[in-house]
Amino acid sequence: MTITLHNISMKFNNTTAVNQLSVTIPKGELVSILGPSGCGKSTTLFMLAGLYEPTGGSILFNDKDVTKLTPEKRGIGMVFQNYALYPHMTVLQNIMFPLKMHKMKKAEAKKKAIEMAKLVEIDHLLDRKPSMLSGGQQQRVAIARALVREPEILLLDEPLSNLDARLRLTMREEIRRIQQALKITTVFVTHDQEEALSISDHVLLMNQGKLMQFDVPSNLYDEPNHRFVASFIGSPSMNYFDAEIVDGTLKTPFGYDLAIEAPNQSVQIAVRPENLYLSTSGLKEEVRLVERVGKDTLAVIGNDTAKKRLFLQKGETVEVGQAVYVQADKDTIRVFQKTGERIYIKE
Amino acid sequence: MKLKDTAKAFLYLFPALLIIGVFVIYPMIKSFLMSFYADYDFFNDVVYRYGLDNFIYLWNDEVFHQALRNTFIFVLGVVPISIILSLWIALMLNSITVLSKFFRTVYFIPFVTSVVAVSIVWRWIFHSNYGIMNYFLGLFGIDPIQWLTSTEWAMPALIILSIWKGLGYNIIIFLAGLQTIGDSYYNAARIDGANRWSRFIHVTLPQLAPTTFFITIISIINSFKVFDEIYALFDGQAGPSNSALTVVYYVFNKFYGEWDFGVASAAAYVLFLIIFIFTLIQFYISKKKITY
Amino acid sequence: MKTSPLSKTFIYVMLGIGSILMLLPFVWMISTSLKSGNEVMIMPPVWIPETLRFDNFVAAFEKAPFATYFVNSVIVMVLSTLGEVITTILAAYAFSRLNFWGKDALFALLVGTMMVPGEVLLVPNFVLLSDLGWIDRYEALIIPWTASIFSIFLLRQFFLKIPKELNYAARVDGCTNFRFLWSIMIPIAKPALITIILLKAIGSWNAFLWPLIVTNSKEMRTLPVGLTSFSTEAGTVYELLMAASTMIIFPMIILFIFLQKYIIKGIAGAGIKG
Repeated sequence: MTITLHNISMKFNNTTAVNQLSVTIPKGELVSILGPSGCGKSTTLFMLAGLYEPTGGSILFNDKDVTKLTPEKRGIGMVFQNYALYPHMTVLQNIMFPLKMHKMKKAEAKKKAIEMAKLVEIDHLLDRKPSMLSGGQQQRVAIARALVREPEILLLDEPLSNLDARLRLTMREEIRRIQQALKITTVFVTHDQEEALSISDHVLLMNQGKLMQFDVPSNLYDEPNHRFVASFIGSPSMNYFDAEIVDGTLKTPFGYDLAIEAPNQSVQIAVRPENLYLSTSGLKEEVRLVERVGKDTLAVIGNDTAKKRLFLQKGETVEVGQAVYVQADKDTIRVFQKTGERIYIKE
Repeated sequence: MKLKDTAKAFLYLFPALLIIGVFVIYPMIKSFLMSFYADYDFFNDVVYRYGLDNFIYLWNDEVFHQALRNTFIFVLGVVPISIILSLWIALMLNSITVLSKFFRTVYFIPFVTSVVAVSIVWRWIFHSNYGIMNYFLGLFGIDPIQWLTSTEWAMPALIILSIWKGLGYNIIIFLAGLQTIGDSYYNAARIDGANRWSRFIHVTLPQLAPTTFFITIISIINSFKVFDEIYALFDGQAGPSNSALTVVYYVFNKFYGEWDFGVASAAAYVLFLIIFIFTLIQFYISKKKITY
Repeated sequence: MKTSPLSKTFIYVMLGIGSILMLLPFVWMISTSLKSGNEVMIMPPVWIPETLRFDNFVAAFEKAPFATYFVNSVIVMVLSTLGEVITTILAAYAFSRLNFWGKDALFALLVGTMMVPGEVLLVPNFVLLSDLGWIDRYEALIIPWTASIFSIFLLRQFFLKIPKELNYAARVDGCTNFRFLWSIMIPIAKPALITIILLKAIGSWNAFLWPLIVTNSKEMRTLPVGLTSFSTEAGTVYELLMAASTMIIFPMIILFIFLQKYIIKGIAGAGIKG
């Protein structure tokens, strides 16, 4: 089912949690809503679920306006951050509960619930209470409960944040597997960019209630449309260099100029650490620190106010205190206005 | 917040609010007004004049003064002893493991029993000729005491009964308070070389301050409201020549004995005022002294 | 804390003596209730009667309508507890889960009235019940006691601890508000509800001043009121008085011993939060 958000806003008392958000989520995709805490991502999900009613705008499932519809009439399934399993019910009763609420016959409901338990691989735990399950197992029960009514949309609110690191990896692959098996439109809220970029078809990046970028993961990384996106995505984070545009020419600190169609102004040039490299010419900086990050070696250069990070090539070595020249190719640099908007360089 | 939500919530609140409104809030206001009834006809529910007459009556009434005096003596007799005893017992219970639950149960039993029934049992215990209290005192060579028939021993008898009855409650609260003190405090104090007594003074007592504060307020308030014990212990009297007459008993006498609703309401409000002032004082002190 | 064996012995001795003092009145009560009239009035006291006279209990039942008192006490206890549980659940749910205009102010007002001693309400409530014609009827004994601010407060605190997400999950699953309360909240809050029920039942069983005031006839008295009137009538027949006291005291002791976990938890919990 295609989900269309049209200018939706959510105000709580005096604070605006979501501000004029418009986006279309394609059918059958897994879409992550990503952003720092308090950016309105969970609020957006809760509006999709019908748990919050937006204070402005409309929500469409396919072409049907569901803005005023109550949650149980929207044909959605939802998984919560703390799983929200009913503690006094067994696993089977938990999965059957939505069916019971919709007056399905008990035998049929049981059959469906067991079927769903098999899909998420917990059919051996049906008689346990949630308190006797591990975090990962509780997660699977929550997914089964969300899917048992065969919803056309699955909503997940930070479903992996309560799991330990290794389980998180397994579970996110599980979620992807189940999503693709059922081809169900899935919206997934997370604050973990790695999670979002690894399993999503599209990522919706939000900040302070606003949509920053809605794109495929690789574009979010390579073609950020705003300095916030550039800074938020990627670790170690983006390097920034001050530069000037004078009469249609961008004067880079790397010793070359680029033609650019923009008025005269101070701008910032952003370069990813893996795109910055040692050279014989370019920007001269002092090495501050050298550290091993997994298989790579990371060098921190610059002064206290403006540190830059770059990955060394195989075989390169630098000493702390040594002066080096760094360089970035012109197709890897991204230019942002002081206000944050991207300035595109014409080829 | 929408009108619909408020209407829905009202449906849920309605039964409780109806009962509380009719039998708590309305009487609270009504009682306040009644205390100013100076001239009224109860049977026809007409008030001819409002005034301070009832309070002036109380101001001049020797019996009311006696009731106030007795109530304060009772509070002073019960509260400090009860708190010290229950703290001591709670500390002992907290330091043992075997049988600690059993002892806790034993100490708490009086609290769940009927005040009236146990007071009648204590009336029998205090019997001057055949009661076990005088029998035990006799073993120590003490002459029989006229517990319930002499004016000077009626109040001590009432105080003994009340301490016995309420001890378990305080112990439970102290135990709950003690359980919130982490072992790390004790370990730190031990490393600092503190002995048992100074650990008690410097670790346990300050940590227990909020609990003690709570118990003190509750004990004072409950002691100010004593009635059932007196009625049952002295068989429908307020002790020999009113020696155990308390404020609530005074209210009861004025209201149920003399049908003087105005004075009864005024006296009840005086009681409320006293309790209220104590609560305020306690809050003030606790804000100043309990600082961590 | 580590305790030396010597001081441990001291602690057990002190606690043991204390326990004996706490239980002695009950022992004395039971012992007296089984004595003959002659054994009651002797010094030094007899602890174990020559023959155990259980017919003292029968005699007490014959001398005063304790069977009626007992039935009245049970009726009042059951109905007022039932009423209170219902009003408490509904109100606590509204205060913990629903949004409505004036919620905080109303809650503050209710909690504030907990400071007002019940004795203040005695006179106007009596007048009100006379006007309603409820004096000396079950209505007077039961209806004013079918709501308790303290219970609402206690249950609301418990309800607030139940994660909000359960609420949301239930809405997505298709629960109405009432269904959610019934199928999810109440089963989860069972321990708190048992505590509330037990504290209420004990309070109702032992209540004295109110039943004393609103009953006139023997037929309407509850056990504590019946006991005091019996004591005025029977005067110094202590074996019968003790037999009657035993009947009132024992049901609550039994109830407490079996369900003390809930009672103590409720009292300690309420105390810590203040």
